[in-house]
Amino acid sequence: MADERTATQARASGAPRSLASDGGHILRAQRGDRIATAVLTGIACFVMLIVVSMVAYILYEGLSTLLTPGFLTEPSRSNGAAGGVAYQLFDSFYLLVITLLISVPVSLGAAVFLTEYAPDGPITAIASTAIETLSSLPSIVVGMFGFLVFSVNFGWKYSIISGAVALTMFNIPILVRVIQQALEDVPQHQRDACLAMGLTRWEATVHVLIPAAMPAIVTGVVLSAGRVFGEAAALLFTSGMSSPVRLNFLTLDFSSPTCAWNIFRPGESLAVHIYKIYGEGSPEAQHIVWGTAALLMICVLLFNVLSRLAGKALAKRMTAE
Amino acid sequence: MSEVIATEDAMGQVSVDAAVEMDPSFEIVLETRGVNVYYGSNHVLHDTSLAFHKGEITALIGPSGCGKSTFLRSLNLMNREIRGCRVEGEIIYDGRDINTREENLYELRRSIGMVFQQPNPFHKTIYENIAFAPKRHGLRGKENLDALVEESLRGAALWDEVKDKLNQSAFSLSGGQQQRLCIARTLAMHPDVILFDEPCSALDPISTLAIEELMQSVVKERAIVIVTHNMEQASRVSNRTAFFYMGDMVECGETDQIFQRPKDKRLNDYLTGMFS
Amino acid sequence: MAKQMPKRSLEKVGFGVTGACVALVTLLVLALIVMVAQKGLSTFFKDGVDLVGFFTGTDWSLANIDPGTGLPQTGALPLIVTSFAVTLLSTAIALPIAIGSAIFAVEIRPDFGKKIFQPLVELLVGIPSVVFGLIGFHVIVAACKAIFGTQTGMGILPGAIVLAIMILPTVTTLSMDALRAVPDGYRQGSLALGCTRWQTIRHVVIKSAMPSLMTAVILGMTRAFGETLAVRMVIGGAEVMPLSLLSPASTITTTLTSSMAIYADGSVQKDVLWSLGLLLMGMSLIFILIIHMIGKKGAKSHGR
Repeated sequence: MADERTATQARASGAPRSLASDGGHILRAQRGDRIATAVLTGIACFVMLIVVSMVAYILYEGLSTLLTPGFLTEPSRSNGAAGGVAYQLFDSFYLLVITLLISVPVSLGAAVFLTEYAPDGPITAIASTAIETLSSLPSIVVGMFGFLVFSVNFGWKYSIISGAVALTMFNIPILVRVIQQALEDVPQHQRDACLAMGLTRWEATVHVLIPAAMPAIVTGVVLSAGRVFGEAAALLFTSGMSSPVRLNFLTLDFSSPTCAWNIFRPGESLAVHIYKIYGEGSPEAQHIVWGTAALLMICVLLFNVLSRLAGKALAKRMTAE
Repeated sequence: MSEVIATEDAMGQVSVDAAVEMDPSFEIVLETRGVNVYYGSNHVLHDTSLAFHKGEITALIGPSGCGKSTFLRSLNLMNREIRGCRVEGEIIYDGRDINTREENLYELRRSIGMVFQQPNPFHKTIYENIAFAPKRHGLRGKENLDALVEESLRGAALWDEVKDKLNQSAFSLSGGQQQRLCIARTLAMHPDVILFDEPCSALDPISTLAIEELMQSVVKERAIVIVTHNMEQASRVSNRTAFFYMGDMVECGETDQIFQRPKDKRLNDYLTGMFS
Repeated sequence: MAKQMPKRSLEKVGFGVTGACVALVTLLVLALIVMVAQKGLSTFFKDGVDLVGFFTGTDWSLANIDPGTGLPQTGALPLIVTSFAVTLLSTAIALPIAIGSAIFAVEIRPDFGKKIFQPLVELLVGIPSVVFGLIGFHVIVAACKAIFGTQTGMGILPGAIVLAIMILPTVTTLSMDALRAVPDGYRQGSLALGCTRWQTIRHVVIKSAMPSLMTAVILGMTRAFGETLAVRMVIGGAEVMPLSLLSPASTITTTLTSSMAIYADGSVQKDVLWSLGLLLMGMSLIFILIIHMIGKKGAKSHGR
């Protein structure tokens, strides 16, 4: 105790002297600061270089194919190694639409329950843990489960609907979190105002909270759509790796295997298509792979941009109205 | 406890006489008997009995955390929305105890309206802010709604300012106008009681004055209860005042008496600024 | 007054509908866990595969059936080792880059960080994993082949590099959030004592953001461990014990992709693959557990 005090006193009395006499460590510190700044700047530049060069490389390799007439409008030939990617492009969007049709309402309902009806308590704890678990599962495990349950047990085989349900499982945790956050960000006094006028939580949610949270929800949904669009691992065993040779968009015979709208036919997304033919050696196949990659990337980037624009536009309309 | 009731009865008698002279329709609209509030195991409001009269503004004053807002939120059962909050005791409205599981709180809250601390209009047009809840409660027909909107906005002294921009966002209004819109929204339900929870604490002095005048003008056919931190406001607007301290309703009486001849030492200390 | 559903019933409907959504999601996850566990465990309890041998054996060949036991060779250690090797190596590569650039974008050039750097990095999040794999296959594998002179250029190293780029945006953006959450008062306090910016960052900012930074890294590792196709395209697909960083190998996930469609449901081989799936699920549960532990510890040290 006494030692400690003398030591402190010694330090206290010694400190000004050392500061005055020895400026070396200050110089060292300043030099360290400059070096650190330089290194960090270098790292950040490196990261930006990676991003830019990746995007540029894909466009460089794929853009010419992408702009080839017929690439976007013709079906593929010789098992994907020739022709265009029209059906893959359609299947990708079809899968996405069906996925969103299932996952958005379910996620919305779940998020509303978790934030508005039961913000704490045992049910919410269990459900939140379940959703978190789902979000951290590798997509291949989700794909295996989808294969077992939907393709095999339900007898849906390799089909658009199996793939869409697998993608739904992959998408739900993302959406629930986004919507929960958006609802939580609506000020509490908006709920109070509704309840104090004798309205139900349900009415408050449907008529006041969800409209107020809409910009954030739309941004989140479109961003998640981008991720769904590029997902492949969960689709390998569910929607399959073969697109039909011929699709008929005009028929309304939904049970026909060539009907484009038949959800029980196999389908192949752009991402799966890349995986299927990336190893093919022929130059034509390579062109198709890069063209598809460029197409996929542009679509995803468009989703990115669209999500921001839509969110901003909605927010602006809401406040300016 | 018994003392509080005794004073209350005595004061009630006085105000009955006074009120009968002013307003023949004097009556008790809302009354609490031995209300206790708990947050979990925390006993935050003890045994509070108060009566609110038609045509009168009652101010609830006291230092922060004294239980006055908690008490206010018990009156329209808003405390039920807070998890872990429990209200015991009788709250008598319209001849029945409303603090029961059977009470239809959606109907009840139409009759006992509430205005909050922050102006909290919805992200909707001015028109929709008023018409929204009545529509949800089943009012149909454009003429009916138009008439109700106009009546409510006139009631809140806002009609002249907004009649040409009913379709603009409520957020285009100033803070004071927004608060008056919230009052209009409440008036549209034709409530018998309006609860004000520090309605002016986010407003400038001029808007505050407008809200106070508004309270005076809408109180005629109903009872008003206002929680306020602002002592001048309580003495300006209220007919009666109740002082809360550490979860107890310490003293209640005519506002003049409370401010000029406080009986309780704690109230006296509070009024003289010993604590706030 | 038009006829309307009574409020009480309306509230019950709302509660019921949204509750059903939560129940559906929760049941789906429980069903997933139970089914994967059941399928994965039946390998050991029904088919009689040796549990210890599964984790310690080094011979993996599902096609090669031992005539004595009638079981394929199911030593999964090479796959487990490879999975951990690519995960740890990719984290080691991504960690300094991600944290360094996050510090730059939050502490050194906050305006630039918010307006240009962050959108650019988020662009990387959106790029599908097959596209990463494709670039890895054509650029990184080719570079490895040229630089190290190996036969294929495939292996753990290119896999780790591709994964590092893939988890980079996740770790970077989460780290940026973590650094931004440090109250400004901490920085000003340190600067006011005469510390340089770098000293402030190193001793004050990073220290107080530590739990969130660790969470960011673990989330990156979770993603790396479960990533499938991008790794599959650059690792070579040889289910053997990796001899070097540049010999073809195979992770748990890549083995699943290449074998899953081959074997019939109910066969021993399929069950063994489900055991691998169970292993993946177990690992992601462990990662979640670690994140929760960090969160609890962080909350405690902040006195919350």
